Amino acid sequence: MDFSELQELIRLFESTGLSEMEIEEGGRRIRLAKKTATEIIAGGTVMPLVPAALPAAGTPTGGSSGTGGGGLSGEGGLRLEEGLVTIDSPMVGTFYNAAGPGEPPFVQPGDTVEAGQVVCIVEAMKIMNEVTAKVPAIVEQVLVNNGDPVEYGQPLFAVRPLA
Amino acid sequence: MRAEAVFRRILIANRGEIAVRIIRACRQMGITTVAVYSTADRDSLHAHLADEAICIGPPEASESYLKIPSIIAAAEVANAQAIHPGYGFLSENARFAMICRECKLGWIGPTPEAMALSGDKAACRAAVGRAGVPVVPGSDGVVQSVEEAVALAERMGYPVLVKAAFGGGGKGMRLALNEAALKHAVGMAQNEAAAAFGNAGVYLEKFIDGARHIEVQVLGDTTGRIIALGERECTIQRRHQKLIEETPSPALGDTLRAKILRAGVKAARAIGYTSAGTAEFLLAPSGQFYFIEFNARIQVEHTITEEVTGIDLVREQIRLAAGEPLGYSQVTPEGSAIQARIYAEDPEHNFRPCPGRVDQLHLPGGPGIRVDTHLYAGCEIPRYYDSLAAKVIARGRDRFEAIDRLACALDEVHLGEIHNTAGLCARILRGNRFRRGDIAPDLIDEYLPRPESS
Repeated sequence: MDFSELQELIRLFESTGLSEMEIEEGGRRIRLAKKTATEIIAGGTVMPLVPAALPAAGTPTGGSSGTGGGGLSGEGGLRLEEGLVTIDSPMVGTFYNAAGPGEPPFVQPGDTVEAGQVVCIVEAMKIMNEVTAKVPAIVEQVLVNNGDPVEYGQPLFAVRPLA
Repeated sequence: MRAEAVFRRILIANRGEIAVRIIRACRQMGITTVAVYSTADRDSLHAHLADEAICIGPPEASESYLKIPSIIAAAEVANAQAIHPGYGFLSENARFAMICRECKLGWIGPTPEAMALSGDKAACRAAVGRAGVPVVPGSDGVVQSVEEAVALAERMGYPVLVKAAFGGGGKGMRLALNEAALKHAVGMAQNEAAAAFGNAGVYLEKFIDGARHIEVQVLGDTTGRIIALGERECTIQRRHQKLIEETPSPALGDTLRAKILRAGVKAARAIGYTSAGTAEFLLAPSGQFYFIEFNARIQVEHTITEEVTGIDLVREQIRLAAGEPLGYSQVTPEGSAIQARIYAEDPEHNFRPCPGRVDQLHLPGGPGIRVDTHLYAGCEIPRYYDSLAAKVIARGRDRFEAIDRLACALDEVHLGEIHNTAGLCARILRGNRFRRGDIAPDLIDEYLPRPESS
């Protein structure tokens, strides 16, 4: 398989609903995998306390794996630079960075926000819940993508508080 | 006969042992599971065992396991097709079931209409009474005034119970021995009910002294077929919550059993019931039985019925919710099964809850022993939720074999530093009164420290 064939394969894989694909050809094996939204949500649930004898989450039924790891909600996966804090999701739902499709985002990296300023919306049961900044801060990083599912307590923004 | 054609992914709106129990049933049916958990349950077994786990809120149940928008949102983002509510929390909340219906989410339970009727205990009593099932003498619906309550109690004779129409778990329930106490009790029960259940409606029931608690497990399908899967005796309780449950009840002969099972089916039919549910009865020392309420959910003690019938009730719930027919019209239980509830509580100190870390854990096994639990060595029992830590169930060819197996199994239970009710249950099981089947609500008192008189 040459480079262009590989590119074609990746394009094909991306256009499908498949989350994993493995091809073996002439002794070479290529494995492509996508993180699904559900895996990302489940990322925070790896439990170090559970004895190894217990079945690993997700494996027996072969459905979407609960051990996605490194997901956005995994606090273990998020390394914050010194001086930064996060704005966390107050509820489970869907993250929107703007008031509506085609609208400009509430905030972008580099913006300064006031205490009480709306930074995003988390939609649950068709209700748009505005999430606000608690302190004046500079937005350093948006940690989730528009339309991503988020869970309670999941970090959404990394910000640098002012003063 | 398999439900996976209809549900491929189920969200479990619960925690603890019942969430684990439901996950297991789903797995065996080829259904993937979504767990929801609060921040206090991050390391809880149900969150670990499910195919996917979503944090829905802080530890307080009102902000997590009872928060309808968060649970619906979790079901939506996880693409669950149905919700299993377990017991407790939102399991008997008709509004929640209605919202699920509106959101096109399957509900593993009865219809919201049946739940609304069974949840209004005063209305349910009336409906079941009209169907020809004996109900405890009492008010016809909620009492409107203290005067009405006094007049009714005059006719029935004291003592009487004042109960919350939308209550449960012993809250909003008061015993009145005379008129003065009743006048006081009605007001108190109304206030308690308004605070706990958001509805001040109370009704009156004649108090039946020494009555045993017998309940009938039913299954109903959407074609209107309803069958009884035998009874359970749950007379041994602490703080109006069950401690030891057994089936069959040693109090029933064949004739009385047949009658009470028929009454259970009639009650379910009067409610329009289409899932696994339980009709609760009081059996007076006279041998007369009375319907008291209907539980529109899977119960903690469903296990003992499973042990003597071989039927997986959670699986049946899922199948029936998917619209499948029962497929059988009669079930003949075999042998005897008893369950002891292991609460993380100190029986020596008025069942004081004992949350904490289970640093050591040993659970029993062997022939005829089943343990349903969410515990593992190193797990935390959070202080925010019910203290039920494990259920130990023994099955035997007869009642004595089940008693011996259970008592020995309970001796093995070891939860490290966590005080629990295993020892108390073992002592009760070995006592002469229990072995004789001479069970009454006051039996447990013989095994508890006397209230300090000094």
